[in-house]
Amino acid sequence: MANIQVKKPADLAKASLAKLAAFFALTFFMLTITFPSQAAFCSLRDPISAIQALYSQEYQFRTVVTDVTEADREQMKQQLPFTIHQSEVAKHTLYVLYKDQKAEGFLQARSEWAKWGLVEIAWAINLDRTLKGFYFQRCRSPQCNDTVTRSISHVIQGKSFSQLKSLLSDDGETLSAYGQSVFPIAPRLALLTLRSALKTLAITDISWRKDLQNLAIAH
Amino acid sequence: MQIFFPGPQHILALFLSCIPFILNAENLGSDLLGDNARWSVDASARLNRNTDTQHNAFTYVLGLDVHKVFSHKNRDIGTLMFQPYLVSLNNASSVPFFFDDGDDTQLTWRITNFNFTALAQGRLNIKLGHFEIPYGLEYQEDTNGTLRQFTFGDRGIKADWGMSVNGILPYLEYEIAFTRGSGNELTSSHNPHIFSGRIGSPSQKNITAGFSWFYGDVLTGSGTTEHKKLGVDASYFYYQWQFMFESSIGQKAGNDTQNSFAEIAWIGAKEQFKSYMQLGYQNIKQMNKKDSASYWVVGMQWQNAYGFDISAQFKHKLNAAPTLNIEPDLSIQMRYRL
Repeated sequence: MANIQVKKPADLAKASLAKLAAFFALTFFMLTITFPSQAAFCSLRDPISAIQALYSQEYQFRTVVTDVTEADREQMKQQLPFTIHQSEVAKHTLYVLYKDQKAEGFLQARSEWAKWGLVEIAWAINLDRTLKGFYFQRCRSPQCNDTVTRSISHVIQGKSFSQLKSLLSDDGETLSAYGQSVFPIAPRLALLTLRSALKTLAITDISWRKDLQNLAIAH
Repeated sequence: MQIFFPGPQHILALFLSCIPFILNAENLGSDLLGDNARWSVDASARLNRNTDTQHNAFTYVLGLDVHKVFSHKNRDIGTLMFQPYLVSLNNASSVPFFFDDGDDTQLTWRITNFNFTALAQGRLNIKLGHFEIPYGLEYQEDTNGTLRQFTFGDRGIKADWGMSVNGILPYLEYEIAFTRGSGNELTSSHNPHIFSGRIGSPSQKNITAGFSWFYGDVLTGSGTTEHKKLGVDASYFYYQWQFMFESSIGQKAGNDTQNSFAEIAWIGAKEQFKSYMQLGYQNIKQMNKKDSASYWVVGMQWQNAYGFDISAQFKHKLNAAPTLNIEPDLSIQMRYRL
């Protein structure tokens, strides 16, 4: 007959606590010496709605994932009075849009902090690095409506990096006098959108330079 | 004093956690997986305490999360998701049927599939593998590995092996799936199967609505349970507030059922903190007798920018019936993605 040993509840609890302690010791060890990662990857979605809104049905797209590094973050400071957040030093995706086998532009989604949470904007960029348009992929404020979107889009569409920069103050924290005059509706949202546009244009050339060269997409 | 000796599952868990070092972290990992790949190791420990019986159960999870996009020339071909997770239970009293007992360790599959996207630029894709069953609120929120869950418990299955067609149209999102009905394991015993789907408005908007269905036989420890269910869901986001609702009617094992679920959540401006309150209601008619039960849940989740996440939740019945008992459950989880 088999000798069955029944563990006492106290022993089980001790064993469980020992496992828990081992788990957290391991976790904190990893925490101190490894790189972090963000949300589970099953939550990643292609910006299909944005592509459909900003490009017509004849366009195809190709994903290009790259590492946005701390050095890239520093390099952005040379072009702008602000830079991306440290938590954005990670892998990011640029979508290259093709029409009739030819590259026609890019699309990149970026998140900006607003006082009510993250605002995610998908940016369509022409090959000459002017803006084709944008799409609020996520904005929890009712202010992000079609009227406001059209009004901001009307100003920034077709503008280059330097033209967009002129809409901002020198420290990049407010709109310039010119910026205030062209964004009479929702100026705070316009400022957030403008900063996102500048970061997107800057980081595209900084972080994806090699990838775009490999795909033979000239600037 | 109790001395802790690691078992084979702990050795394997330790090995999985050391993969970043073995592969010299990110760079070598990317080289191994090729272009357009992301990967991460996901570890968590969870305590579930029945506050009536004071019974504690522990769950330790260690998994791999791989995401890779395959492209060719001027288009994407598809996306591979690969999430094998090692789950170790300790002193658990009620366990999924594919565990031998409450002290077992099993390899489980979260989202592991290939979504073929080359057909129509995201408007029509074909997914093959293990994926979340498209139904209700689960479709648009990622609740894998979190304490916060919605209504999959009503259906007895969250993710399944099978095939789906899915896509995003300008004013519509959809996923229609034929799956095995066996959950974690790909098995044909008792011949389970599920036909499910959801058609809804674009999920990125502040107001969303959807219609879902769920028909089939779900594998359980003692055979299968037949489900027939039609549901509607809606979400509304207003600044930092999120309101969600789901309701369904149908049959479970031939008995008429009705289920409703509502959640109010508040999210901090930096989106590191989330708190929520849920209410659930279920009604079942067996023979000529009606039983109903309801519960409430309060929970919070805090995560920092470096992949560390702590969450806590308490679930308690509002009212219960002999056939629909709801145990009071206090859960605490710590999770780290590296």
